[in-house]
Amino acid sequence: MAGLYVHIPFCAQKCIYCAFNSYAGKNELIAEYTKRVVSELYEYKPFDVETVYFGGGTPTYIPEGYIINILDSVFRYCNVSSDAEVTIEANPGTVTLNKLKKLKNAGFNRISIGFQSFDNSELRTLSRIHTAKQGVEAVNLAREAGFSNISGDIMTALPNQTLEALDKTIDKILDLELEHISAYSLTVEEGTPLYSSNLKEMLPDEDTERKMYHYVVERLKNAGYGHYEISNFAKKGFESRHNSSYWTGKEYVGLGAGAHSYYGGKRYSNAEKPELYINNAPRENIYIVDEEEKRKEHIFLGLRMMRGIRYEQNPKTDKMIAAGLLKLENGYISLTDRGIDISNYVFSELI
Amino acid sequence: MADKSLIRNFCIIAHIDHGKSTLADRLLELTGVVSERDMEEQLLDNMELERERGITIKARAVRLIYNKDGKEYILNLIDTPGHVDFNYEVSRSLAACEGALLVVDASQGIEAQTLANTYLALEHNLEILPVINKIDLPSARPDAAKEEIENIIGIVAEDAPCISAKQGINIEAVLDKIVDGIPAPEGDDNEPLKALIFDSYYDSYKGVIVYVRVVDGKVSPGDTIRFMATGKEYEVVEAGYLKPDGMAPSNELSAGEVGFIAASIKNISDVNVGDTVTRADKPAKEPLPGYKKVNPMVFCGIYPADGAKYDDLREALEKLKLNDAALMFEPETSIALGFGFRCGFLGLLHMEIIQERLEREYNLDLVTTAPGVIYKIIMKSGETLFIDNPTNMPDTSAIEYMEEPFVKADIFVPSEYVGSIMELCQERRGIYKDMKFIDEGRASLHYEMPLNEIIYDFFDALKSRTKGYASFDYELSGYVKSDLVKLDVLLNGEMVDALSFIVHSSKAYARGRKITEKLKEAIPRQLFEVPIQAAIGGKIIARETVKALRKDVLAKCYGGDITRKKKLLEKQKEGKKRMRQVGSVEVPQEAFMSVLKLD
Repeated sequence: MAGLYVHIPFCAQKCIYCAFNSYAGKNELIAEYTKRVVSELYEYKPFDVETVYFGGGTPTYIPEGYIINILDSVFRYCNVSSDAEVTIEANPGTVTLNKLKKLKNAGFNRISIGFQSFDNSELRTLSRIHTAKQGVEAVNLAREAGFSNISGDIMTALPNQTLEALDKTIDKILDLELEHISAYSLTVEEGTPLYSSNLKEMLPDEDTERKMYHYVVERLKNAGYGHYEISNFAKKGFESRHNSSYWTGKEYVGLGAGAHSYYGGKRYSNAEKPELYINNAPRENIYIVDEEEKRKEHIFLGLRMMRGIRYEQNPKTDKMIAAGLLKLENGYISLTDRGIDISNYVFSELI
Repeated sequence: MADKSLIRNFCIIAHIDHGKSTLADRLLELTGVVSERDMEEQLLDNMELERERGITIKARAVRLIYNKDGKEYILNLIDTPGHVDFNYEVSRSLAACEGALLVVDASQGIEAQTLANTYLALEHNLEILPVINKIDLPSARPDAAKEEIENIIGIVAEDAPCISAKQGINIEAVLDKIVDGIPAPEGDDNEPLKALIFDSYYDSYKGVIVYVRVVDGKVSPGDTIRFMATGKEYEVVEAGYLKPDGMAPSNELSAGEVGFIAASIKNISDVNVGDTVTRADKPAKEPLPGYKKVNPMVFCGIYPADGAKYDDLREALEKLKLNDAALMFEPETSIALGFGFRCGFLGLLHMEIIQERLEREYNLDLVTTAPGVIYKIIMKSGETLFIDNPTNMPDTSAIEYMEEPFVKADIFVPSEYVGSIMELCQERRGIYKDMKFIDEGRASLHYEMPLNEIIYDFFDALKSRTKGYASFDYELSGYVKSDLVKLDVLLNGEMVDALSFIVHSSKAYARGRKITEKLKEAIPRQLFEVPIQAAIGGKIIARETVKALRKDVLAKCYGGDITRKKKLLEKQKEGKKRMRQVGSVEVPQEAFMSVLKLD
């Protein structure tokens, strides 16, 4: 059993914080690109699929025919289990009822909508292409199209963001009664417009940032969402199965430019540039995940999940427990609140 | 017996990059001793490190044969180190010569470093032969370079050969000049043996190989020789000449000649540069002038980053010591750093070279402490102590007073920088002695300065304030009473012995502030807040705080992030390995070094 990820690197516009492998203004490549994705699928022997995830970029930005065509190929070629989780990412500025219906009919049963904020001035700052209202509408359309498993993304620690503004964004997203919420602290990545902009000076300081994070956790928990991963929350039974597979060491096949795979005991990735990918550029960064690598991955991926990993006695682990960074419950260790804040430190000690 | 009239002993004086090594290569090539094909570039600089830094650290010598007007001349090229730390060694190499080639870059003219050595050569009555190099460069201005030589040094440069060592242009003119312009050596073969030691190195088969210039008398295998300063006697096993491709044994070395002596000498400390070799059965009445025992002036602690490598470090130091009589070391222990060595060096460059060789050639990761000097402490009990490690400083209540070493510093500097350099010397507690203008463009400043102030990157400061044009030379002048204090550093309330240093009280506050600031930069955030304090006695004079680690978390980690993320965590883990646990605080090795550069 494996997960399947399909990368759609096209966007209407690049957001200022975005460091993903995504491009605006490369529409002329879409047809060739999606063709290559299908041919890449055929390079694998047919395999069993438990979860499918179309991410980007903005999968809903390109004409849905291309997406549906890829998904059809997946259904025909792979052995997709009947209860598979099939997710597509969407930008509120790129959806219509008609498009969503078609996607639903094609087999998508989960949609992940990138709101990022419900404050229009924040959305403008981030150079998002939609308004807060469009965010709400997107959910209504998705419901109308028949989606009963909807996830929404919001971001914290935005430039000039106050706790009050964040509070309002949380109110709004709770009103939508989504099944799943991802809340990410904004990370300023090198090479993005944000990185070289003076907006960087307007970011909340570390203390405020952590306060915001824990505030979000508290409010979502109070609203009935389970905090199951550092940045992910879900109503019972709606945890993302696809994303969870990354943290539990399951294998997955990544199709598309820059897509990473963990398949056949190896990790590897495709060429980043769509142009190179289309021209069959060879796979990169291939390495074998041996027992030692598996052990490390199990620690730093498994501990991202709040249920943690099985406790095995060793001095470093015990030191982390004594320092209040890990907690031991029912034979499992997991990050404490303070442990989450400095989880890289914890992981680097343990791996 | 060699015909003295056919011998020429010379050295090359040049600024870094002005082509000393290249010219030496061409001279070797042209005299046929090495074929171009076999020749490794820049034969004389044969240590890896020297090559990289473009400087010559230890002297070497080579014998060339040149035919002119039907006569076969013996040209002995003695290479000289080019840095102030090795000033004494340079002076001994010069004393072995009758002449020097002064190589000047045709586009850059005379530079500061060249000047001090040229003056040193003039002091030893060497004949200076200017050579204008790099005339193949478009920017070459040979006439201007000649004029500069005449103006600044005051020697005739009109008929200086204009050459390109790189392109091999006009090299023969240099050889002709050496033959015609440098006097043949004098000396009497029948006088008792007097040979000047200008270098030595350790050979694992033959023992110490002694490089000498015979001034009077003769030496042959079988002779019992005596080193006049150390009084040690040995029987000569082998004597001979230094050819570029190796040693050529000979029946004797006579007055005027340059060569080597091997006498199964196991201990390099018996062989001191500048000492006089004589024969035990017929000793010279007195040694050659100018001998000085070189003593280390700069000290620091050197520790293996990995405590388990202590023995490796000791072995490496022992090996380096075989070829470097000036290097001193003895075991010491630090609470913060564990087992290591207190090492003594001629100067800061010497220290850096040794550290780099330990790291590079012996593959050791080191932690070094701030360099210091030897302080003299007069106790209330009347006892006098010398300490080279701040940790050993006794309690102040028992100290009557302290003295620190001072040096006489001579600084050559272009006139426009005089003000800036005087300011620098004043900042470094220098006492102005006098100033002379060598010509309208150049001055020489004389200061009495605490050695302690020189070892803290004085040379770097000098160069950066003068665009590299200043040159600098110093010698120890003695101990001077001084108001000194020991400055301690506390991390999270615990004193870190390896960070203590002795400083003049007028500078203690500034240094204390600076060191806490530097440490704040160097010490990463920990799980808890870490106060960094500087203290004199029990009194805190400066404080900084490393805030507790607040946030180190990755918001997103999906399929595409795993590989990159793992690498980052591994790097973070690696970084930990370079940390020293000092009490409850993890201190990176660089932090111990950060106190080296405080200005």
